[in-house]
Amino acid sequence: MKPIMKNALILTAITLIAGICLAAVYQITKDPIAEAERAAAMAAYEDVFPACVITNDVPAGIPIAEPAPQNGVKIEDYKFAYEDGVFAGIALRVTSPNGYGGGVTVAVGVDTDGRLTGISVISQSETAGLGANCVKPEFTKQFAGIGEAVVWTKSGKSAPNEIDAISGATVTTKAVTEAVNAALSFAQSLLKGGEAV
Amino acid sequence: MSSFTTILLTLITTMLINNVVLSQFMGLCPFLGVSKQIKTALGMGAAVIFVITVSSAVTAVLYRFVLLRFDMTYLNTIVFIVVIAALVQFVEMILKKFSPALYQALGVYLPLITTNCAVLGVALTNVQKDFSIGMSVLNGFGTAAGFALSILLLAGIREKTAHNPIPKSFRGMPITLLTAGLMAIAFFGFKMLA
Amino acid sequence: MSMKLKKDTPLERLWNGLVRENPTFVLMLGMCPTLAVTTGAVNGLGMGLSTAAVLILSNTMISLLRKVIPDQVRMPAYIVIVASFVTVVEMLMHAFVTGLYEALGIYIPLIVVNCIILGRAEAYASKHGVLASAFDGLGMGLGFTAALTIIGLVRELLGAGTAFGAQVMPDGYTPISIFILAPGAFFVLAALTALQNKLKAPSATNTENAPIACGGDCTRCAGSCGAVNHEAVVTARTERRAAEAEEAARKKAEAAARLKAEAGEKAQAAALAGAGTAADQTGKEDADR
Repeated sequence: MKPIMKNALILTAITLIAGICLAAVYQITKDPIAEAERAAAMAAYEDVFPACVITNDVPAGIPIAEPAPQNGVKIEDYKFAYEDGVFAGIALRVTSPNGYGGGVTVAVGVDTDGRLTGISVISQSETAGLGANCVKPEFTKQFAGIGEAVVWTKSGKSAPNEIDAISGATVTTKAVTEAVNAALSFAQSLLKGGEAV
Repeated sequence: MSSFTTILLTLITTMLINNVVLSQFMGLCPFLGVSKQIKTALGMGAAVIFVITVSSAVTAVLYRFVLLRFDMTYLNTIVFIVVIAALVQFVEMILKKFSPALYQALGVYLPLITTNCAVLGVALTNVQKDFSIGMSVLNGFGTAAGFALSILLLAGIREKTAHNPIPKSFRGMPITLLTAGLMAIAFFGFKMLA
Repeated sequence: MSMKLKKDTPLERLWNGLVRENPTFVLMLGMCPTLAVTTGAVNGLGMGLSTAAVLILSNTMISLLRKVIPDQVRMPAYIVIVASFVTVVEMLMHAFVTGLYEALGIYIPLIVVNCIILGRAEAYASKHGVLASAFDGLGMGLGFTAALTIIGLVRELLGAGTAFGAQVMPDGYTPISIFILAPGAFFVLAALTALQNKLKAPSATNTENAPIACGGDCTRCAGSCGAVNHEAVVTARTERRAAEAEEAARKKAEAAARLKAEAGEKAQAAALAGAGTAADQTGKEDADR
């Protein structure tokens, strides 16, 4: 019995020390991680609302609502953009878990008319040369100006709310589109005073 | 979506579209190493299905009720790998005691599974995609079934080509890798289902 | 390819990891990350360096604790140590190199199950000093990094026409995008191993029953990195125990023989002790009396 006790004791000690060390490193890295994420989100927000000030100040007539995740797509955060002090639109950070290599997080801008001002991919783990092309402007700039649910197509866009899929990366296209659509419909409902669209 | 469609879609996605070996490169060691004969491939496949399904359930429960609740998700990796290692040992002991026949069939493959990255990979994916416990088990089963399917296919092809006149420098590992590459292209076709 | 270096010195360990026992090209270990993250040279480099960091740390720690960790529980102990270091590296990467952290995704935590790490712990760090073990980790890590970067560079060059993200191929070049997709990974490695076979370079793929590696055969590598080593340790220990028991039994027999000369009544018990190791305890007591 004795060697078993000794083994268990040593193993427990190692695990305990490991756990404590991890907790310490977690505490040290927690703030830099949050800061890095915040900085990335802010940069992306400024991408979709150039020349605007992005703040947490809620403009008049906009309700405070808690976005609910749909099909795993999560609106993580939203802020308000002001151009020269005038409310210009809502900037949202939204994540779809359904990318090819994991989650895809996108910043989405919606102006006061309920149209997309643009999108900017904050983070993605997609395949280099294919899905990772979702960060390129050729793909992202297609979204600007669309005011209803975005539809992706592989056969060349023919309607104003259609976008061309990234070639060879339909999974990524789908993930980005569903993230954008979730953000768009939530922003539109906010702009209409909180009613469902 | 009815629950039946969800189940079917998840299985198709995990088994064919996002095949764990051929598109995610997890579990390559046994895939290349234990695929010489259909018989051994079958044993390995069955053992992996068994372990991944059980470990998905256990890790999902642990994550929901312990790690998430006490805000210790940074311990995910360490907890999962220890749980998987312990689980494999445990399964081995149980099988040995209660089902000697099954132990005979799967026993030799079980210790190899701890270091099969597909097992840890599935546990981590379940967390990353924020799956419920039921969904985690389903995802685990589908992924493991995908592994079993691809290792069986590879073993079948290798048995057929074993005596073919293959150029000398391509014998062994290179031709197996080429076969796997061609299989990966074939599985690429399933992406159209997505 | 042969260099005369004193065994287990830092320099020899570096050379060993980088060239002689290169984990990817020679030992064929850690194939999952090798194929999965080498879609570009940068990712290969990042993955290699993260693995190297974990290797150095885990080798050092395991070498430090090699006299503390009991043999029976060494595997779980190693797993805990390695998993801790992987998590530390993961958190640091998330905080300070977020882009790379996201690009490598799930393959960072999967470093835990990379055969190279447990393999080196078992085969080297658990038997050698701290300095040599740390340099063994560094050498193996750099060897892995070099291999991943090279494979990544080849795939990126053919599949996207770029190197480290910068356009290098002329405009007229149409990227063969299959090379950065899953099948391309298999093809590149197939070509590489075929080349090694052709050149008869030392590799796990063309050495039958080589002691150096698994040759894709998990029963000899990943299964329990060094099940073979473990068996050797166990055999050595059993032999040593048997020898000790034999020695003890012989001494007892001698003592018993002396006793017998003095008083004949204890002869039977002494013979029993001499007969085998099972009667160890009885024999000892008898001899003591």
